[in-house]
Amino acid sequence: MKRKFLITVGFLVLVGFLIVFFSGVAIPDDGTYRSILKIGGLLGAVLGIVGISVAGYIGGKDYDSYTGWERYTHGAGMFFNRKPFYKDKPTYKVTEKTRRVNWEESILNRLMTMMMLMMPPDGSKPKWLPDKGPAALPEPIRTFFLENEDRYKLTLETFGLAQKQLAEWPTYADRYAIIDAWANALGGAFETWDGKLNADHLYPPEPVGPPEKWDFRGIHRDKLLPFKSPTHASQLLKKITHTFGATLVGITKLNPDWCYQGSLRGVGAGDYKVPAHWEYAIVFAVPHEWDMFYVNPTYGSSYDAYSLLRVIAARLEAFIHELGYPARSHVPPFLYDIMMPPVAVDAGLGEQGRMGLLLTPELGCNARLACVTTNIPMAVDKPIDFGVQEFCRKCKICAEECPTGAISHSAEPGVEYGYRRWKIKDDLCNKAWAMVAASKPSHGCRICLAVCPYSRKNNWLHTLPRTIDPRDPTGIVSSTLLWMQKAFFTYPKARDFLPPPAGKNATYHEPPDWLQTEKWFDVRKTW
Amino acid sequence: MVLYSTISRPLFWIAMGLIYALIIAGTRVWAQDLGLQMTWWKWLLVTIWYCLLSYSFAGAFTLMGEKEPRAWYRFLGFHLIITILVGIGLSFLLF
Repeated sequence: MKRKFLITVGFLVLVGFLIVFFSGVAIPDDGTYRSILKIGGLLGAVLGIVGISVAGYIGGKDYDSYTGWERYTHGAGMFFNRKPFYKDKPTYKVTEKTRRVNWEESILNRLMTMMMLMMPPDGSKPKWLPDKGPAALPEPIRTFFLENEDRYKLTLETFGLAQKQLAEWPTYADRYAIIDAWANALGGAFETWDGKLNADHLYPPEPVGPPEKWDFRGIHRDKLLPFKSPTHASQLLKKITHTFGATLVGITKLNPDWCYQGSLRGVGAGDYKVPAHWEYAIVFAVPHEWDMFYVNPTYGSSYDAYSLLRVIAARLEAFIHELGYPARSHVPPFLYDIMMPPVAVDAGLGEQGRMGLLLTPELGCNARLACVTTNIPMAVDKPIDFGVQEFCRKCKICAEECPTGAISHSAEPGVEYGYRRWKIKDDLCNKAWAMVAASKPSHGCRICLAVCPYSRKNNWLHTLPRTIDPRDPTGIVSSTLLWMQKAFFTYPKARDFLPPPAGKNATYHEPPDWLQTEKWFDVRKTW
Repeated sequence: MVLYSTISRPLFWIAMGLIYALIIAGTRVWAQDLGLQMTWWKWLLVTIWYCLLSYSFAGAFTLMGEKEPRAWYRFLGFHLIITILVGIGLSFLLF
């Protein structure tokens, strides 16, 4: 790439000199000053193109244009002006009959429960194995699988694929050694190297007991520190969350429908009302390291963003306790009492995309989420509409690139929990996790995030359309951009992301130097 | 990146400003010597055309910097064809 760049620049300079040379010959002698201006004008025209090309190249390559990874974590120049796009209601549509999300409807909750039963963390005998069938599972998973037999079968198939994945890992252990080590190092904030929850080293710690006690545990003031106004509270807490490392921060009143029904962390299974002090959610997002993000699934990991989010949440929780208010973290990888993307939508961070995850104006889909619930009276943010629903309706790149077909191709969103949004086949999503070349299924996939046209850098080429498109009521800009995206950019075929023989371990971009084992280690390259 | 560091970035854009000033001065002389009857809207069209040319290269090189393996030259090719066609049309208008 560097050589191509130098050749092209050299070519342009050569063309420039040739133009100047021949212009000098052709120019009639009408005075030195005019000749200089004419030659200078031509030279300037060429240099202008060379200069703007250099500026463009650097804008594309520079780390400064990686939103959230700039020299500052919350500086100007990387935020989208949300004001013109504020709406009173979020862009997901609400039907007449809505309900709370059931805890067992989250695939992560189902999987983790089953894993804990098959491989108890204390090393004791398995409490459940697939040969016992779904009827032997604890409630509410038992009923869920008895009512959804096909999903049970798919879950078992995925367990089988995960075993195969583990067995095949030595084939890839050298090639992906750096990302594996990097992910495991970052994942140390919540899990051991072999993918088990690291219960002794969790920061923030997992709740023990009811939220009415746990969420108040760090308060040591006799009385709380009263804010001057809800706006002051909102502004300060956002600022503080940024200083802890968050790239995007929003505040919303917590819609109880997003709180899982059927189980509560620290208490266990059962029906619970949403705790009264979970009035507000401070929700925040950070991106993955961008170069790594574009080389999902094999050279990618979720753990950089996950570990950072955990640290931010723990600090924010402690900060709120210091002020005398209750607070509770809801953090990755799966330690949530709340479904995160719709909360972030309510808080104006972005909109929910076709792939079911949050799509923000600044980070695209490269936005991982956590939140802290509290009862501090705060001024809340409004949801935004910057045209994602219309764009996702036309785009479908994520659906076309998903190796297991987990993402809907339908033009219109479906209805889930009484809310209109594109439905994800999460069992199929999980199947992809267990099929890609990784040391364990928890390393995930993230192809849909990497290929999303919104997941681009904060440079002029991408920020300009991101600014213009939401202001275009005709949809012509988004259609043109989408055409360019599909005509100019090359994506691997969906199955190519899988390992051989089905695929070829493809990635969207070439891996950056720092992730290529062969560049740093004395290993025999066989790939 | 040395070329685009905190110190050299403003210097780079100052140099670019000087280059654009030179282009403006030079183009005026070229237009006079070629006997072109330039009006404000013709100058505007010429400026837009040069911006289009700059956009073609800047966009392509930005994509190259982003390591988009094929997008950069497809972008350049597509936009250069448009720029050349527009340029031909513009030359009919000017000459």
